[in-house]
Amino acid sequence: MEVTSGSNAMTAGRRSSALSFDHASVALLVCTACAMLATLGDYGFTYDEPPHIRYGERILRFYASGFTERGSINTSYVGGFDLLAALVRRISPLNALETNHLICVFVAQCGLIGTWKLGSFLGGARAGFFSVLFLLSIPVYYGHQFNNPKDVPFAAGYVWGLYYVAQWIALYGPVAAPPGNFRAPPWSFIIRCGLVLGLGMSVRIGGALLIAYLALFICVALVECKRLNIVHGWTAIRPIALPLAVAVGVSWLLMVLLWPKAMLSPFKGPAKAAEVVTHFQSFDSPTLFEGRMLSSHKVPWYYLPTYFIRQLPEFAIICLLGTLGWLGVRSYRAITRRQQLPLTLLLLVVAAFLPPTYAALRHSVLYDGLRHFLFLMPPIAILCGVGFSAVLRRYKSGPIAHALVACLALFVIDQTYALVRLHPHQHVFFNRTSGGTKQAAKRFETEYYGSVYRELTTDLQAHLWTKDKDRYLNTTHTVTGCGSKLFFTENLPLNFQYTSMRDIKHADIFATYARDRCLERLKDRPELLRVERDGATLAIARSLTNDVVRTKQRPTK
Amino acid sequence: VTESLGASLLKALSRYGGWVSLLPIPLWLLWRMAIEPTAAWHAHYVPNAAAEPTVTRFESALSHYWTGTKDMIEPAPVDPANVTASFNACMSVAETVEVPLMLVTSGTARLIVDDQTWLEVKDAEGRVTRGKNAALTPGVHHLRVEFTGRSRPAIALLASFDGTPPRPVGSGKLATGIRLFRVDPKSMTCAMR
Repeated sequence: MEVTSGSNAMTAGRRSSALSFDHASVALLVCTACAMLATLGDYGFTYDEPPHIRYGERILRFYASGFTERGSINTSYVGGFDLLAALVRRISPLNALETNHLICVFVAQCGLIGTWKLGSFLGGARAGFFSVLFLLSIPVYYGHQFNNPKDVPFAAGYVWGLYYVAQWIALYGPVAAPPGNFRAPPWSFIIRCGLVLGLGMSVRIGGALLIAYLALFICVALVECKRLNIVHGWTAIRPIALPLAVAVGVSWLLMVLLWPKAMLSPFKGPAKAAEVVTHFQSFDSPTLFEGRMLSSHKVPWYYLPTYFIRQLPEFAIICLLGTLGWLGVRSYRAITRRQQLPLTLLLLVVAAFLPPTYAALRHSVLYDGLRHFLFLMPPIAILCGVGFSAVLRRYKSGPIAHALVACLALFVIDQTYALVRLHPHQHVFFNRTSGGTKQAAKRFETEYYGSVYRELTTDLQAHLWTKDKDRYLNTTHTVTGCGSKLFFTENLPLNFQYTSMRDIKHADIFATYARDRCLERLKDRPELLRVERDGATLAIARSLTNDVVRTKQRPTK
Repeated sequence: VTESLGASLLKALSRYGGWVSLLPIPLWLLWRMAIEPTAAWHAHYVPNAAAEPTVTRFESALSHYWTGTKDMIEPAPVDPANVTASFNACMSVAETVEVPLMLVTSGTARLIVDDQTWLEVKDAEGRVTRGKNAALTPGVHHLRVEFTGRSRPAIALLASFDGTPPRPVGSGKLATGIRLFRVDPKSMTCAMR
C-alpha cells in the first residue's frame, strides 16, 4: 500500500524534509489565497452565476418560510454551494456577483487544501507539495476557480471525498498493517467521512460516485486479500458494515438537508435527479470542435480526451503518462509476484478516468470543452505530483534528479507566465502542441462562459468616452450581442440599453464573445475594439451606426 | 523546551496549516465590511397606484432598473410598474472641481443640486440620457433626484470624478477630496461631518 505519511520508519532527515515540504505547501496555499483575493475584482461573471444566485435565494426562502415557499425549487441541481453563498450575501458588503466570486474562491481554496492532503497521504509531503503545484499550473482550472459555481465546488468535494475513501481503504482495510480483517474506523472518522461525501453530493448528485468508489474498492481490497491469503471469506467485511452504513447515512442526510427537492421527496427526488443527470438530453448547445459546429448531442467519443490533451500543460501530460506507466508496471509486478497492489493510487486512476470513459461510452451531452469535467483536474494533478515525487525519490540527488527539478522549475515559470499573460481569462489556455490559444481559438471553444464581457464593456465605455465626451454625456447607447442579456445589463451603466439580437436593427453597438462563432457575425461592420489574449480574439465590439445594410451572418456549419 | 515547543509548532503547522490558508478570505471579507462606507443615498419610494405602503431606506448607489422579470437579483422595493421616488445625499467637496454628471431615466426625473435644478428629463419614451459638466465649489452640496416612472422604470445618476467614464454615484466610488455622506433623513439637509 502506497502510504508513506505517518510512517514510523521515517528517518530524521526525511522527517525534516517532509516538514519543509509541508511548510512550503502551506506557504504556497497562503500565497495563492492572497493572489486570488488581490485579483478577485478582475474576473467577470459567467452565465452560470445569476441562475445559481437566484436558486440560492429560493432555497433560503424555502427554509426561512418553514418549508412552505416551494416556488421553482423542484430542480435537479443540489444547492449546497448556492445556499452557502445566499447566507454570506446576508452579511457581505459586496454585491451579489462579487460575493459569489468570493465564495467560489473560498471553496476552490478548500479544493487546493484537499489536493495537498490527498497528495501528501499518497506520496508524502513532497508529493503533496507537487500536487498543489501541478494543479495551480493548469490555467483552465485556475481561471475557473473565481467564477464557476458548479464545477470547481464539485471538484473540491470530489477530491476531499477521494481523500477519505483512500484513508478508509489504506488505514482500515484488511491489507493495512497488521493484516487481517477490515477494522472499524473511529467514529470521528466515520462522521467526517459522511460529512465530506455529503458535501460532495450537495454540489452535484454525481458526488454519489464517491460512495460507489468506496464500495468498489472495499470489494477490490477483499479480493486482493483473498489473492494474498490474508483473509478468507466475506465475513472479513463485517466490522465495517455498520460504519459504512452510518457514513452513507450521514452523507445522504446532509445532502437532503441542503437540497429542498430531496427534502420534499428524500428517496425519489435524488433518484430522479440522478436519472436526469445521467440521461441529460434537454439542452442542446452547439459546440465548436475541430473547426466544426456540432450539436452537443452528437460530439464524437474523443471530444473530452481531445480537450484534455490540448488544455493540460505538456509537462503535466508527460508526468501523468509516466505515472500511469509506472503504476502499470508496479501493478503487473504485484500481481505476478503476489505482492500488494497500490490500491489507493489505483483509486485515483479510476477516479480520473472512469467518468470521462463513461461519458464517451454513453455518448453524453457535452459542450463548453472540458468544463463539466474540471473535477478530474485534482486527481490528475495528484497523479502527476505523486509520480514526480516517486521519480525524485528513485534518483535521490543524482544528476537526473537535478535535471528533473530544473524541468519542474521551468514548467512552473512557464505556466506562471501563461497565467499572468492570460489574466483574467486563464480558462482559454491551450498548450503549445495545439498551436497555442491563437490557433486553437479557430477550432475549439475558448471564451464560452461570458466572463470576458466585463473587460469588453469596460473597454467599450472607455473607448466611447475618450472619443467624444460631450456626445457620451447625452447619448443612450443601444447594445446587442450574443449570450445572456445580463452580460450587458450587469456590466454596463444605464446609459447603455440592451436589445436582443432579434431587434438588432435598433442597436448601435454589437458586442460579443467567442461562443457560437459570434465573432464571425456582422464582420462587415466597423470594429470598435477587441479583447485578445495570446493573439486569440476573445471578444469584439462593432459599430452598427453607419448606413451599411445590417444582415445577420449565420456561421457556416 | 524552546526547541520542543518550536518543533511542536512546526508539526501543528504542517498538520493544520492548510486551514490557515483559508483565513485570508474571511479576514478580507471582514476588512471590506470595515472599510465599506455607509450607504449614503436616502431613498423614498411611493407607489403611484396607492399612497401606501411607502418604502424608505438608505442605498449605496443610485442606479436602478426594475424589469419585474426573473433576471432581477434584488427585487424592486415597490411595484416597479408604477413608482415615484426621491433620492437624497450630501457631497463634500474640498476644492473647486469640474465633474461630468449624467442623469439617465425612462420616465420623468430631475437632478437638483442645492435647490437648483441642474438636469431634467420629462416624460421620456424609452431611456434618455442627459448630462453636462458641473463646476462644484468647495463645501457641502445637497444632491436630490426626483423620479416618476411607469413600465420598466430606470433611473441612474452617473458621474466621473477621475477622468474615467461616468459610473453610478455610489458611496465608495468618489475621488480623493470628494466624499458622499448621509443626508439627515428628518430634515433632508446636509451638515458637514
